[in-house]
Amino acid sequence: MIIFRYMTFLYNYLLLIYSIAIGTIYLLLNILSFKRIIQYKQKMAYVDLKKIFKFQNYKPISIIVPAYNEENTIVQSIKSLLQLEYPEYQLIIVNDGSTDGTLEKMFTHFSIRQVSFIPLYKLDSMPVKSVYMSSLYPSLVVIDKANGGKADATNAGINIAKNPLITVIDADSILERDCLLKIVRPFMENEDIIAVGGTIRVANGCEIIQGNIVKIGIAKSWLARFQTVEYLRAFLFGRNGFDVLNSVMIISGAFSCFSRDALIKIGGYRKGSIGEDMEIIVRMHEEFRIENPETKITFIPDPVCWTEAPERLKILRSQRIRWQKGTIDSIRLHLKMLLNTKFGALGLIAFPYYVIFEIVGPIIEVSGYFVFVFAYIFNIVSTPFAIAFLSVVIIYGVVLSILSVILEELSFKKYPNIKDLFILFAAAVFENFGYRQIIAWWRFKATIDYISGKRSWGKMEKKGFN
Amino acid sequence: MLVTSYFLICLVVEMRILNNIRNKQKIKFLDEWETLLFSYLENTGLPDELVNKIPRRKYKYLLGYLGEILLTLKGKDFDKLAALITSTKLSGYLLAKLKSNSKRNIVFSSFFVGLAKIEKAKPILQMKVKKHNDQIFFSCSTALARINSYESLDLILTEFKRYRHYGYLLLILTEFDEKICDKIIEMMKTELPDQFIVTFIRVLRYYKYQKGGQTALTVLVYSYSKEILIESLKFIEEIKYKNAIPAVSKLLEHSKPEIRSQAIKTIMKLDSKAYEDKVYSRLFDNNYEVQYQAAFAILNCCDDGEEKLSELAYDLQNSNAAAVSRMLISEKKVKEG
Repeated sequence: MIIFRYMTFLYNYLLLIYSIAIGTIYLLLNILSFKRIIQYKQKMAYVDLKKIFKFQNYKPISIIVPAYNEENTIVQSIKSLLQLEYPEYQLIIVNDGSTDGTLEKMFTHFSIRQVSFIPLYKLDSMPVKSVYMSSLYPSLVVIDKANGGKADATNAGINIAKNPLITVIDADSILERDCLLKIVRPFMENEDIIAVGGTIRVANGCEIIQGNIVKIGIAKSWLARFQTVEYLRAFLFGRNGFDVLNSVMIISGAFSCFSRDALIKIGGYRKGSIGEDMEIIVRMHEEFRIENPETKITFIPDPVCWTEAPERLKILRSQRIRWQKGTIDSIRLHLKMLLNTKFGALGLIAFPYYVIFEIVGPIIEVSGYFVFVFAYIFNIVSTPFAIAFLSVVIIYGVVLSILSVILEELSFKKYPNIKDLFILFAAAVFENFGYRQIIAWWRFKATIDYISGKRSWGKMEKKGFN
Repeated sequence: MLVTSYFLICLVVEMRILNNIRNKQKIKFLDEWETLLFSYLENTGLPDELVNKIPRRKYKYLLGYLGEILLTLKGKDFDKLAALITSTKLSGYLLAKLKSNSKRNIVFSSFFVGLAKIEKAKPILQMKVKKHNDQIFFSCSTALARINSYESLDLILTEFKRYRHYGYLLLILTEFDEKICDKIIEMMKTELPDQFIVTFIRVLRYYKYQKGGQTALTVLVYSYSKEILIESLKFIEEIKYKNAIPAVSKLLEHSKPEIRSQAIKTIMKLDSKAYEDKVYSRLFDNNYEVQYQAAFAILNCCDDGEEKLSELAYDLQNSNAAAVSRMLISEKKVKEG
């Protein structure tokens, strides 16, 4: 019994140390991100993007949009994508075996005609039934293929992409008009860059007309508001911070840009992968950084892609379980990079961070809540310790979320209404009481499921924009 | 930590409220003054009369408004609006701000003195360029370039070595007028780092400066740098400098695919007929980009380009060349309806 009490006591101290460690790492990432975003803003303030693009140093882009059962949104999405500001781009819609009227809608609205195409590359994908081109919009290409999932559909798109840069976006994402001009800049400045990611923001609460954001606002539901703060934290702080260390391990599948040659060289997306967007980035690091240590995968805070956040717990749960399994899967597949000095800060800092805080973290956090309550009830830990523990856990969380909202306000000021700013601050505080714990629980469950062999993807439903 | 966060929140909210108040004041000011400005443009009143009516604390609103318009205007209207800055109290106001030590004031005022071309600001701007701050360097150098202060060019280039962001240099140099090209050609006769040469050629290309052809050709013959060769090819293509054809044709066989690909584009713009066969052979290159450019050039520049590509498109033995050809022919047919 004494040993049990002693172990419980020790575990609580371990939890306290863990909480302090993770909070401190986040604070350090915050500092790095603050510095980087301010530098980025200053740099962009001088730059006249349109003038730079007049010099024709840009690289043409192929935008690949995998679409599965998107009949309600596909027409508006394509129209919106055809209006992007960029001198030369090809838009490839991959109809991934939709069972609804996605393809028919494209026939009706874009006058697509079947053309004879031979794949330019040989990336693995399900059979392509036909390739179409629009007589109204010559840059629009549609691929109709058997269903194979997002990774498979993207590979089919890459196979006929004619341009040296490839952007992959989700069919229901909304891109800001000038985002391509911004996401391509790193490729123009540095030949060692092979992939660039942009910021994803929550579109719930925004006014959307014909596939374009016309007014930015905050969602009505608190669940979406919490996610808004969560996205700010993840993108403005997390990824920016890791980018300073050239250790970006994930670029969101909702909006990413790659060098086509790099994608071809690594064989495209891995079919059947749970978290294909993370896996491809980790694989790119593994393949290219040995060959050329200067290789860079970067993230820029400015090009913004808006996406719909789930407003129902069931859907959010399925999304988070998928994300967690995807993270574990990507790490497991490339575990040899862990503590490998050949990868610099990626192997020595980012990889261990993901293993300790993203994979093992939810287990420690959830078990910690139970052990702590148990220990407190049975007087194994004192009240001062309990206060210290809760303070660290809650205060760090609140402060980090508030800092992300502050950074957003000091840098991009996307939310014009002051009321929205107050709501964001409130969400930054309240998300630490309940929401964070629920997310931790789902991640814990996903980790246990993954370890015990339940590795299915789960299904992601979307409400769709009005 | 919580207390610090609380204070930060208060600060951010206060900043936002102040910002909103300023925006409202600005909108109110512009509502009142827009009509006056337009009647001034239609020849009623002197610049002084208009500016004297504005309280000093509202100068920044007027300047903000003028700045946006001046950036896009040229000719008589530009001169008339610029006179609101150069021949009124606003010029003294801006020069005083420029002399200050505040980075914000320097950046703000240098933008307007450059835009309105206030010659008197030159010595102050030259001093500020040496300030060892990238924002101040960029804004003051841009202002000097807008005033066409060629005597400051050496200073700008010397100080630029501290920052080494060639994108900025390009933006600064293109703010000078076309005469900058002669200066650049002169400088290119001396030994320069590669990135300077690339930037200089881009400036020549920006102005489509015909007289720069010979300089670009010399660079093309003697340089080994990929970036320099590509920029020279692009410039030669832009000004259609036919004397460069033999040198360009040699680059069709260059070891780097980026150069071969650009050489195809350039040669087809200069003399498509004579080099058709050479370009056709590039369809069987081992690099996709080169194949694509070769097919594109043949399809669009040769009389029988479509026939040639059609033959190839169904010859599956050369599958890469066939794939590219088939794609381009399909695109063309769909475009033509």
